[in-house]
Order: sequence, then C-alpha cells, then structure tokens
Amino acid sequence: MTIPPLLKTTCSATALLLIMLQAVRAEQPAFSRAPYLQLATDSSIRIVWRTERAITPLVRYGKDPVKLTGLAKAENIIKRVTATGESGSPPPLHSAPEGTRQFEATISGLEPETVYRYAIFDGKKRLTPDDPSYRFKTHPLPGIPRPLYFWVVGDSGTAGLNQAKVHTAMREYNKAKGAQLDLYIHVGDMAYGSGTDTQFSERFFKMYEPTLRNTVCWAAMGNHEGKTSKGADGSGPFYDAYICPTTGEAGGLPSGKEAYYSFDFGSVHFVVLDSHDLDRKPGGAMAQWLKADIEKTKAEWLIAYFHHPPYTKGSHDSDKESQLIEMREHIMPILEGGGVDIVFTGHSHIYERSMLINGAYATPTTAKGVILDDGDGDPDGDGPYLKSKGLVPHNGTVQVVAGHGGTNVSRKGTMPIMRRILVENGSVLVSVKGNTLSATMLNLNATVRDSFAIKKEGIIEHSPIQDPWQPSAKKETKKPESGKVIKEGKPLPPGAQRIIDHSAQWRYLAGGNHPPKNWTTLNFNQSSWKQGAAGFGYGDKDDRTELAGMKDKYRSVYIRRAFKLPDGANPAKIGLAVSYDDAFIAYINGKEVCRVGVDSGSGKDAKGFHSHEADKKFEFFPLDKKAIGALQDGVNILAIEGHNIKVNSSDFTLHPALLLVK
Amino acid sequence: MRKLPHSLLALFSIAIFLPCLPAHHDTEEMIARFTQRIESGKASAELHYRRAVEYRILLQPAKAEADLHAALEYDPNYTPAHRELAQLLAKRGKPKLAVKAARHAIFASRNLNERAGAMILLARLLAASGQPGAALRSCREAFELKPPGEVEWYLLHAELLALLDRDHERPDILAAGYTATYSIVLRNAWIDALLDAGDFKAALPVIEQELSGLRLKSSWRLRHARALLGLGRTATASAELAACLGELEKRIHPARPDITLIAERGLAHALLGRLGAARSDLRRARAGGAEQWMTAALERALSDVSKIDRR
Repeated sequence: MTIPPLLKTTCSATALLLIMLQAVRAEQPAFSRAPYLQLATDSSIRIVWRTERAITPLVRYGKDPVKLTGLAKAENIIKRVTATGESGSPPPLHSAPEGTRQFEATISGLEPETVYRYAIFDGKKRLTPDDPSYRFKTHPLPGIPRPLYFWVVGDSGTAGLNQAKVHTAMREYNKAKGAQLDLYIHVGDMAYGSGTDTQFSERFFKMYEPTLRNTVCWAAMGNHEGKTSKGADGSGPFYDAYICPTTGEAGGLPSGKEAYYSFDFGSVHFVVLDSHDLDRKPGGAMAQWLKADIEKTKAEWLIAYFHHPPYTKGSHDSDKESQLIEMREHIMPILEGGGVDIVFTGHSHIYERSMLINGAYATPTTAKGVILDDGDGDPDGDGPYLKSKGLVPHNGTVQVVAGHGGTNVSRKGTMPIMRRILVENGSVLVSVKGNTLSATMLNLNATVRDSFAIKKEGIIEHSPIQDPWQPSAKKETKKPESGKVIKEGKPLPPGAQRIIDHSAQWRYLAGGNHPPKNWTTLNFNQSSWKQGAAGFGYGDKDDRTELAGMKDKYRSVYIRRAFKLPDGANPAKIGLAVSYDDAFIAYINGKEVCRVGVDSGSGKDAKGFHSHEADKKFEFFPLDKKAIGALQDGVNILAIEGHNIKVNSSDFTLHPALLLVK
Repeated sequence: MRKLPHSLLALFSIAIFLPCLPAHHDTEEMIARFTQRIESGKASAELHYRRAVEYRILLQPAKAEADLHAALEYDPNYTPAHRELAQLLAKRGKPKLAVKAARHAIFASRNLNERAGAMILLARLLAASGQPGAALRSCREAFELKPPGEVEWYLLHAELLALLDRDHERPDILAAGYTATYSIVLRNAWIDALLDAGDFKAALPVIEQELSGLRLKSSWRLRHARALLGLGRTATASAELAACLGELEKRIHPARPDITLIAERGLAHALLGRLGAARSDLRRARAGGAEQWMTAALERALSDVSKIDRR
C-alpha cells in the first residue's frame, strides 16, 4: 500500500510530537510550581512550591553548600490544598487544579545579608538538584546603607517570545556584568488575560523560574490579576501566589492587608499599593496607611510602585482614565509630601521616564510649573538629577512607566513631563549605591536604551523651570529621529578648494552650556560666544583651541561660522572635511545636513553615540540634495555640534573644514 | 530517556501557547470589541457589565449606567452589575436609587462573602443619604456574616457611631479591629477616637511613644496637642502646635496641596485660636473633596474655641 506524502508527513509530525510529549512526561517534574522565594527579611524568608502529589515536605538550608544543616520540618511547613468549598486554616487555594498542594516553608533565625543554599526534599528524596542557583540572601538590617540592585518588570504575562527575551536579556546583561539581583519588583499584569491559577503557573512562574528560585518577587496587583483576585480580602490566585507582609514584618507599618504593604532593604524603603480595586481617595484606608507609613520611615530612599500610572500616553491615557487620574490627584500628593524619590508603574504598554517633577497633580497633565530639572538625568549626559540628602518633601520625583515587559507596546500621544519615551519591550534595572540611584532601561536585545540617575547630596533647593524642555510629539522609533546616521566618511578628494580653511576662526560655545533652538540659523546672535581657531578639543594634542576644562565636566561643544560660496561654484561639489572624536551633527542655515555617529536627537537631547578616534585624519562627507537645498546666495551659516561619547573620555576633537571639490 | 534541552522545551511551549496568547487592548479598544460582540447578537449580562466598567474608567457614567441596566435586563440577578450600579448611582447623585440597587445586590448575592460586601455597600449608601442608624445595622450584619471583617468595615463602623454621637463606643470597636487585623490605620483611628471621647489619659502615653520614633510628626504632634489640651497643659500644647505648623508648611505644596495635610493645618490653627486661618483651611479641604470624618475634629474645634488659653 502506498501512503500519500501528506499523510506520511502528518504521521511523522504526530509521531515526533508524541515522542516530545512522552519525553516531557517521562521527566514529569516533581513540582507543578517550582520553588520560589517570598517575604524576605533580615532574619527570615519563605520558600514556596507546589506538587500534584502527596509528599513529606522538608527544606534543608545552610551557609555551607555541602552541609545544609538547617532544617524546616513538615510540621513547620504550611500546606494548602485546592478549595473544596469550605473555608479553613490555612486557607485553601482559590482555584488551583484539583489535587494541588502548595507548601509554604518559613525559614527563620537567619543572619542578615547572608547567602544560604537550600534544597527541597520529599522525606529523604531530594527534589531540587544540587545546584548553586537554589539559594537566597537575607536582607540587610533596616537603616543600614547597603548596595541594592533590583529588576523592574510590568505587563509581561503573555508567555510569549518577547517576555522570554526580556527575561533572557536581563540575565545575560547581569551575567556579563557579574551582577546579581537582590530583588525583583513586578508592577502588575503578570498573568494575562485574567490572572487565573493556570495563567499564573504558565505565564509567570514557568517563564521566570530560574530567577524566582533565588530572587524574591515583590508584586503589585494589575487589573488583569484583578479579574480573579480581590484586594479587599486578599483572595484569588494572586494572593495564593504571593505572601505579602501585613503586620510590618518586612519593615514599615502594618497594613492589615496583602494588597498594600511596605518593606525595607537596608536604607531603602519600598511602598507597594493596589491601584486597581481599592479606594484610592485620601480618606481611604490605603491612603491613610500610606501617609502613616511614609511619615514613620527614616530610610534614605523611598521607592513606590503600583500598577496604574499617574502619567502616561502609552496604550493608556492618564488624562482620561479614572484610576490613573485618582492615583495622580490623590496618591501622588501624599507620596511627594513624604519625599518619594521614584515611582514605578505599568498598565500602559510602553516605557516612559519623566524629568524630575513635583506637584503635577492637575488634569490634564501639563509641564507648567512642575518640572524641577529638565535634563536627561544621564550621568554621561546632562548629569544626574540632584536631590537633598534623606527624604525631603517635594524635592523631586522621577516617574517610570515600565509596562513593556512582554506584551505589545504602543503609544497614544506625548506626556509633557516625560524625558524618554520608548515604544519597545524591555525592563528596568535599578541600582542604589550610597547617595546615588541609577537606572537603565534594557530592551529585549539586552541593549541599554535609557540611563538616568538621582544623586542626593547636601541641601538642594529646586524651583520649577518656567520654560522646560519638552518631548517631541513625534513617535520615537528605533531608527534615528533626525537624519541618516553616517558611521564614517570617505577619503579626502585630491585638489579640493577650501571654502572654510582647516585653521579658520569659529564662534564656539563650550563649558557645558547648550544653545537655544535657533543657534544654527543665520540670524542667531552669537556675540556672547567665544572665538577660536579650529580644531576644538583636548587630550590628543591636535587642537588649536584647547578645551582644557571639558574632561569630566561636559561632553558637547557647539561651533558656527559664516561662509560664502565662491562665484560659479557648483553646490553639488561641496563637502565637509572633518577630523572628529567621537560624533557630530552639521547644519547649514538651520537645516541638518550631516549626522555622524549620533543615533538620535540633537544638542542636549542627542543620544546613541558611536565611538570614533580622530587619529589626526580628516574624512570627507559630500553634501546631499537636502544640504544643497539649504544653501543660499550670499552669506550662509555652517553650524556644527560635536559630542564626546562619555564625559570622562580621554580626548575630544572637532576639526572641520568646508571644501569645494573638482 | 534523555531529557530535552531547556531551550527546546521553551520553544516547544511557546509554540504550543502562541495561538492562544491573550490580546491586550486599551480601554477604548475594549469598548469597541464589546460593542462589536453586543451588536453581532452575542449580548449578555456579562458583556454589558464589562463594557460598563470600561465606560466608568473613561469617566462616561451615563453610558455606564445604561449598560448596567441592560446587563440587568439580561440577568436580573447578576450581582456585579447591581453592585456597580449602586456605586455609580450614588456618584451620580441618585441616593435613593443607589440604595435600591444595593438592596438588590444583597438579594442576588451568591454566597456569604458577597452578601457581607453588599451589606457594607448598603451601609455606606445609607450613611451618605442621611440614615446612619440603618447604616449601622447593615454594617453590623456584615460583621456577623463574615467575621472578623475588614479594615474598612471597622473604620465605617466607627464613623457611623460618630454620626450617631456615640463617640464613647468608637474606641472599643477600633481597638477590636486593630487586634483582628493589625492595621496601623485602625490603631491611629483608635487614638483619635480616644481623644474624641475625652479619654486623654489613655491616649497620651501611646502618642508620646509614637512621637519618639517618627520622621514626619505633624499628625502626631496634633494628637499630642489635643491630649495635652484635654489635660489642661496648654503651654506645651501651643509649642507642639507651632512645631506642627512648621513641619506642615514644608510638606504642603503651595499650589496643589494634599488635603489631609490642609485639614491637619486647619485643626492646628483652630486649636491655636487662629479661627480665620482655620476656616480658610476647612473651606480648602472641603473644596478638595475631603470626606466628613477628615474635617470632623477641625469643625468641632472651631465650634469650641475655648479649648486653648490664648492669653
């Protein structure tokens, strides 16, 4: 008998599928939810796992990986089972698959800031492998300043490829840096579409398993989890999954509810709120608790997070939606009146990061009177946002919408307080070290797409900026904003005529100042600018105008010079000859004509620099049609901004000339 | 059998789950999707209810109300719609209809938890419509249905007692709530209730202990001053109130203040006999949406200016 090819293929595929399924079945895991950590303090931690069969649970742990001398016996491990319709103690699991056993082991009497290894046993049979990744680290004592490194994720729970990539990117980035997470915060929507028990297992626990086995995830509930879980009484799959402090056991004041709580890590105080299904008004119990909690804390840093963002124009609009408006109008005044430093949220599927703001409670949100520092906050750019030491009311907050952890990203508009808007998947890594909090947005390809920092020193008094920087209404994409980026030029053409000589005098602006928007135009008043001969720079002894104070202070320099085209010159034959380190953007009569080594933005907003050494060589950049169109009879202005890739770079060069080739 | 590599398993599971990945939509898109399903003959109580919730989020209460009525036409016992409707009607200034909807929610409850929640909702709506006695009965029924109750229920219970001028009963209720839940909000409300009930001696040691460990002290300085005034220690109370005002000036945003702090400042002014400033803050707090209980102490202090020796 001849088997038709299609049937043959189908049979083969089915057989392969069965083999794969059998392989998976043969390796039926011991756990239906692998071990994960919860509720870490300076002296205790919870280890939680699930099985689908009866076991005699034991947890062994210890500082010495060879000798796990500590023991949590079965009688000290809470066992919760699938609900049968009757209440009881411990409370049954809300809606777990039939036969599920959830074990919650409390390990106490631990030393602060100490790494322990652990293993789960069924009687004498070890269920977890002998693997160093099964470990936990206790928190430092409250108030003791210790470095902290944590991961922020929101709106991730699809079990899709992007969620997996964002997770992998974080792990690879940390591996390359030799960094380990101290904790993981999730700002909600971790189990689409309704936060069911099964969705939690598949879209959260399975997806992050290698991280969750050694890093506590402190979660805020999202609206999707809110479809099956209730903040009011702490019931549902979300509250089965998480063990949140209710009695102040991890620091902060007792909330009496798992829906909102606080915890300490050394000198950092975290507050977690339920923005979804509890009263958000100032008189509500949550707001009252928040006010009392932040009045009490004596931490150096105050970090708040919840699901619904007070400021966003991503996939949601905080000017139109009630939960977002209420968090802004009612909760933000309490947080800022208590000196909050940074607020992480999700819900809106985008990455948006604000300038340093205060008092932006109006609806709709405007930038008027609320921006305290409109710089980019980048230590290698405009420098970190500065705040007073300790927690000082209304001293400035950075808002981060991190709803880009895995689901589709989108943008509705432009939130005027934002400094960085990126429509791509990713997550945020945050480090607190001494007086500086640093954060980076890492996309799903492990590329850093945004960096900013907050530095606390002495007494900093801010007043709102009258005419702050504003984000472009144009949607940002991965491609450059302004023009085509050129990585390198061409060899100099022989016999070219010099329109602007290599040693010509230019007007220049240095010292860390940035010019107004019209600085590239002919009618700009340059009288306050200094004058010097090209080239400009430091560090490699090839500069006529030495910028001695540039290193470690600033990274951008602006130069401009008038020129006239020679009679009868063919504009198509004009080009720039530039020796440069690292990047520059050139303009003729206000129009950008050449962008080299700068991915996006301009001036103080320029981003994505590519390293380039001048090596005392000139490269040639012919002008394109756009540039030719910008030329006019009579006087023209050539303006160039030069950028160093890092403020502490060892050298910088901007040395241009304008040529007319044969 | 050899174990499959993790990466292969991951890809396999992604392939399995990819077709059923949930699509997430913003609020307007959700409304459009619900509308499409409703208009294509698939209308149900749940669909109308879910669209109503989205309309409520988008601050379109009329459309939300219409959808909730439509939901109840499909299923008159659909409890979530009754609850949502009751709250919506109250916000829309229809207290009688709101109470009626809450009673329906109680009737349609499917279990004790739902019934207790609906009783609390009814209690709130009755209180808002000027029936504190009936509200108190409803609140107490909820406690009986679902002991030990929730943080908010104890606060409501105490608030209803205050409305009925039964301040002396409040401390015990709040103390019981604190014992049951450990909520610091109930502990603080208990102290306030002791002060309102005139039990200054019981409140003072707790207040003084709390003050010593605080970063921002204005709320507790106020409580301290109230206790000291009650015990006749006016000079110390005045100094405490001055310190309270000093801190509040730093915390209150001049243009967009936190109304809880405005209410505190108003009370401090009132206790210092600065009635003009106190009344101004009372107006500002009310204009900002302060609930009645938040300004109750301030109102009481304004009506009793003799509480402080102004010499």
